[in-house]
Amino acid sequence: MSSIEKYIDKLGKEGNGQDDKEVPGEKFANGQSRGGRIQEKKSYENNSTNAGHVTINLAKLQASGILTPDQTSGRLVDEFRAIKRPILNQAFNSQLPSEGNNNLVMVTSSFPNEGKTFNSISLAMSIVMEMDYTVLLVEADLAKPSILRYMGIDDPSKGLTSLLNGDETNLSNVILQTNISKLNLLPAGGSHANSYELIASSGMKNLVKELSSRYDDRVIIFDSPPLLSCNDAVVLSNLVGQTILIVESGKTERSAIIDAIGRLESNQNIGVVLNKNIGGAKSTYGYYGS
Amino acid sequence: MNDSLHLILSYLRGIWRYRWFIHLIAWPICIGGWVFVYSLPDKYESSARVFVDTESVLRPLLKGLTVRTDFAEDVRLVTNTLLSRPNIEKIVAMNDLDLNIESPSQEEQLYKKLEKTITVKNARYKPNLYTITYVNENPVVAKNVVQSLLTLLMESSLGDSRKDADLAQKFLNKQIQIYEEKLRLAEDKLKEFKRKNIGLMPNDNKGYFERLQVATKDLEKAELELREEKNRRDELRRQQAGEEPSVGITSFSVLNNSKDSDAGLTTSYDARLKELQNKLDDLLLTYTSRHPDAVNVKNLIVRVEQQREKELEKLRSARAASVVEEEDINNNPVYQRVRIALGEADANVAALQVRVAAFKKRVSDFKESVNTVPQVEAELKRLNRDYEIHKQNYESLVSRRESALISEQAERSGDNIKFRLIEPPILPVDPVGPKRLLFSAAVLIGGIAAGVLFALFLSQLKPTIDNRKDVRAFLELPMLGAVSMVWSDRQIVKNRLEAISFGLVLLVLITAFGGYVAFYKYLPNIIS
Repeated sequence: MSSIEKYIDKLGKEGNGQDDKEVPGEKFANGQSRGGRIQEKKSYENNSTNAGHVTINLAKLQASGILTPDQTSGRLVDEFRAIKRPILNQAFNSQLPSEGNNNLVMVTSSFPNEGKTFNSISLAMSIVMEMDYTVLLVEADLAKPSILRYMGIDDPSKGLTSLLNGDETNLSNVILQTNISKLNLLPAGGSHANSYELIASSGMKNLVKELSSRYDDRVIIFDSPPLLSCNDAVVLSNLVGQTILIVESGKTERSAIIDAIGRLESNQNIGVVLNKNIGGAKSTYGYYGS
Repeated sequence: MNDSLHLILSYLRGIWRYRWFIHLIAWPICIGGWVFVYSLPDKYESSARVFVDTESVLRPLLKGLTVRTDFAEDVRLVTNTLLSRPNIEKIVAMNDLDLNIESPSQEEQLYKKLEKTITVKNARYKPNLYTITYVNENPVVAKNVVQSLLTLLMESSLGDSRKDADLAQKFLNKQIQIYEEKLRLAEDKLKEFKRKNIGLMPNDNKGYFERLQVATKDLEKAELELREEKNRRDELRRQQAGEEPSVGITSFSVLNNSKDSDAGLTTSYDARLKELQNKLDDLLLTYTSRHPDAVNVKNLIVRVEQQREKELEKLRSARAASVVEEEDINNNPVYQRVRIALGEADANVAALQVRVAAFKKRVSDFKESVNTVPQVEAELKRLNRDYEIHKQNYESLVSRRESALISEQAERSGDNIKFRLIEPPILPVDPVGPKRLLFSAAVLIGGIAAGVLFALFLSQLKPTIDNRKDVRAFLELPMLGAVSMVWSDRQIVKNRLEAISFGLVLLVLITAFGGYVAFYKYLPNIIS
């Protein structure tokens, strides 16, 4: 075992005890497909010296009600199990022709505060619990990024913005690793005024392409701005393969939602998640397992 | 079922979303409504109870209708009669209700209002017991209006029927007069006619031809009698004029053998002559007339006859010469009787002749008037019939008038049964309305309901998505799933507080209602 591998092990034990398989990092950089095996993305990032590592404050997440990986049963767990399944199918097993970016998932809504960030983080956590996949969670709401805040992580100065406006060129310098081994973060990196132009730039396009193709067992979740507040999400939706529309049950006006949907291109894969649902049909009929 | 439950729940959620609008609507409505209810003027009710014999009141109205209507109809009829336009106008005038009226439309409104607010009801089990009620803001007016209604009722029930009766009487009287005239005319005509045609008047109700028959029979009878009498007379004359009457001797042979002038004369030789005659007859039976005995007898007979003849001559001359012979005859009682009988017969014949002549004339008269008598009879019949008809009509009119008089008397005497005041209207002291408690409660409930409805309305104005069906129906997108609401503890507390505050506000509203009611109920007591 090389020193690298030892280092990797150490890192692995700090997380939630996921089994890691060591693979030489270089091969990762070339984007070789490894099939559905657990891949250690950290090895790639380990090549750089600036790989950031942050600790997600799970307690804080739980206090906000967001799903955390230590929850194995409960209503929220079951709900997200249901939600992630079609997303994952679409991302990895779909027979439909795609442009190769089906593993790019954008989470948006019509209005602010409908629960995009909540759902993004919960979805990420839920997918992380999968055997076969890893997650990169991107703070794509450059005006009001909130993921790091929920996680109790200090805002690093560099992030997506720096990548897009050229301050940073190395992806690995920007992506953050977390105490959850399968979850990585790409912060927004400080708010920026003309976020729209940034996202619409070719730099973003390239970045997105690279992100999607680097690991094919990785789901990249973009926590985007609301559709009706600004046009960023529309642009972003053209770059991603799946769009999840968060609808606040019983609050958002129907017409506004339809409006928002109308802004998206018609060839988008859009799925709806009803958030903050009260008194819906029983989603579980008792618990299975313990 | 599940679907509709879900629908109701989604409505409730919608209402809850806009819950503060409930208060926004309810409070102004309640406050405003309560103020309004408080400001409503008190209404006083005055009522009177009367016993109305609808039979007698309604009978003139229902004249001609044979079907007896039920009592509900009665009430309606009485009400309509009582609250007819002229009555209402009278009431308005009597009570000075029209002091503020300036235009005809206002007047019309007033009448209509009165019509509606004066109620006439009857108790279900005592259908003749009517209650007249009127409500007004001024207690004095209320009482007066009811009082005037009672007066009107009394007047109308007395006046109308009497008027009716008078009219009827007048009519009958007039008709009776007319018919009296007709009757008199007919009578006169009849009399005149009878007088003119006295000879042709039927006796014993026999017709013309019958009478002709009778007359003819009478004539025949009379003629027969006359003939008989004539015969008798002639016979008697014959007896008297011819011969002396002889007692016991049949005048047969004398009459046979002698002429009229010899009638009644007898000789001594008659017996002998008869004997000889008989002898001769006997002889002639056995012998012929040439027999010597027969010849002897014959010669003897001739000799006796000659002697008889001589005697007869003597007698004849004696009779013709002297009266003594007649006296002898007259002294004969039979002869006298004959003479009496003859006298009678003469007289009878004369009488009968007269009778026959009369009958003959009658028959001939009849025969002459073959045409006129039936005509006259027909005319008479017609006149009689007319007279009879007029008489009948006249009599029936008279009897009807009498019965109308009697019934009117009866009605008049029974006037106090027709309408009796049981409870007069009193001056109300306490108001009967408006039902403030009820109204303010209604305001409360109505206000809250209006608020709820408004909230519901708002929720429907801005519909949302809250279930899979809506997602599919309206968004036409697949639903990946639903995430239940996760309340943070702080949020839970906040929610609770907010709900409590909402409830408190509601409670305040209800308490305000309670306070208002108490205030209203006890304020007068506090003031007084």
